[in-house]
Amino acid sequence: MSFDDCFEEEQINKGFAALRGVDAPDPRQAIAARLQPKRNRLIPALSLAAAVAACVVFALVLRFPQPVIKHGIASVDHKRNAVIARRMPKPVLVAMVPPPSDPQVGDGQPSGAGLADAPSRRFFTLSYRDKETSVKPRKGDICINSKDGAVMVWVPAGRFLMGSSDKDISAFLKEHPEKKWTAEAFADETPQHEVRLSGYWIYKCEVTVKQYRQFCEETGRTMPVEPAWGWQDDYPIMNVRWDDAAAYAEWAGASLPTEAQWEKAARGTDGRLYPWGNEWDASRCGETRLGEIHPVGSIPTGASPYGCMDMAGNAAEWCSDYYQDNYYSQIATGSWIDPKGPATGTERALRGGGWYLFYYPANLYGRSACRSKTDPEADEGAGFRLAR
Amino acid sequence: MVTELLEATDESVLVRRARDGDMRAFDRLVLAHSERVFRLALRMLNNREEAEDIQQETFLCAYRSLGKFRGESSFATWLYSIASHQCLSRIRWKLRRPGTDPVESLIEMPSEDGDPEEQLLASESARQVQLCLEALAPADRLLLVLKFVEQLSHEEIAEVLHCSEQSSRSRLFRAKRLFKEQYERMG
Repeated sequence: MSFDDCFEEEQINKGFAALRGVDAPDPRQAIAARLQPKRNRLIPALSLAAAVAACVVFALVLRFPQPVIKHGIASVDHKRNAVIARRMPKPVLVAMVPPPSDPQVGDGQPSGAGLADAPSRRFFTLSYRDKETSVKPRKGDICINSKDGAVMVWVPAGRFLMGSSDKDISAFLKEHPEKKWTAEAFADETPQHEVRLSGYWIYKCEVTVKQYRQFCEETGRTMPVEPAWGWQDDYPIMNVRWDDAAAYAEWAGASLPTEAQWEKAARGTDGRLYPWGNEWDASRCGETRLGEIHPVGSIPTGASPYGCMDMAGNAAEWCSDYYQDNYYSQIATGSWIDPKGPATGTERALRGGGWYLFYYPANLYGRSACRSKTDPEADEGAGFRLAR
Repeated sequence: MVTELLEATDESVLVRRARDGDMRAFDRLVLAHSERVFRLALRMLNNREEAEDIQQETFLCAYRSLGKFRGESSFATWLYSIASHQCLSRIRWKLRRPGTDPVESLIEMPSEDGDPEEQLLASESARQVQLCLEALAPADRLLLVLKFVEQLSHEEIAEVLHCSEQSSRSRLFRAKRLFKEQYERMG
């Protein structure tokens, strides 16, 4: 045995030898179970998706010229290069606005006029506004970023409660006595304070692999490290460094959300704990097992009050702010208007429950007020969405 | 030698069959390697629940990535490579939210028959070694676990870590020195 193969100290060698004995579980059943339901779920999901896709194609290609918006009224906003859907019981925007130079949109001409005479008006109405008309978005409005095709939802200006109250933290600690955590571990989320934000658009879903690939192709950047399940177009992009996320934002004409923007989009204005309410429900953020993420926006029951998806699961998301654990207590005494985080720092804020975090009690990171941080160079599992 | 050759052939056949969707073949691979994956995870994380999770996740990753396994390294080192990455990732994630690490489990010892006094001594040595391992940086801990718990050769460690054999040697030398310093400090 060479020096490399052991320590000089016999006790150490004995210690290592003793560590070789383990009582390992047989994981075959669990693995089979984790592979099986996925397959079963996939078939109906694919069938449904195929049926929906067929209906959409039928409606778009055979019945209606573009743009088509079902069950609602839309307006074309040339400045934002977007269609804004209005007064829709369930906003579904199926048209993307081409660049202003595109003759389909026209210049001051009601490009949607022909649609008003479409045979089945009960399906949609498309109203057109002159480009001079200023459009004031309202809650429920959505638009599309023509650069990457991402749907954005409008979060109106106003106040909301940011951070966790002492009551929230005590309740959480009581739920998980076995973890022996103390309130100190949650100090960075306190004190809860009122923040006022201007209105903003935020991506309904996390940036996808497909969108990020387009960015890489156009800018000559390389894709991040591929996750174990490989790149799938409609999954969230992952393993992105903060700088790359910021570069994407610039390319897409938007920015990373501030922590405040992210949190308001996730929990609304009523101080709820999770995007859907105050009761934890793991099924609303997708799989709760390590390594199983899902296509963005595929779990509508997990939507936030503004319609944002996957804010308690899938990828953890970069924010624009530097992270500082006592930031809330520093400025809680003043007036909080559009806070942008500390001026300097070494770590950036991450929000949202990432798929990698579910070995904790899942609702630790699923809480909309939960803050986490990491070195901006670290990319493990990090994705993002944008705001504007 | 002949047995080893047969085993190697068997394994490559199993891998090929598993890649073609034969779940029974994959089950056999899981059975053959589950203990080493679990042991690596347990010694890296010192938490049984997490180690079980990493064990399952490693095999799920392996199943999904079988198409990428070209047999350039052994199946075992390929699995070690996946498991190592899973462990390091998890440790890094823990650091993102200090103060909320899962509670450490007691150091797991095998239940063996034998002289109780010997067993107690071995148990104490193991406990101390595990504590020292935990005080090291995750990358150093991984090297020591691969070498002294899993008893891999430098060549195998180099395959697992995707580095040269020389680099594996020099990194291990450094990790051993740090471990000894820690061991003496904890005395």
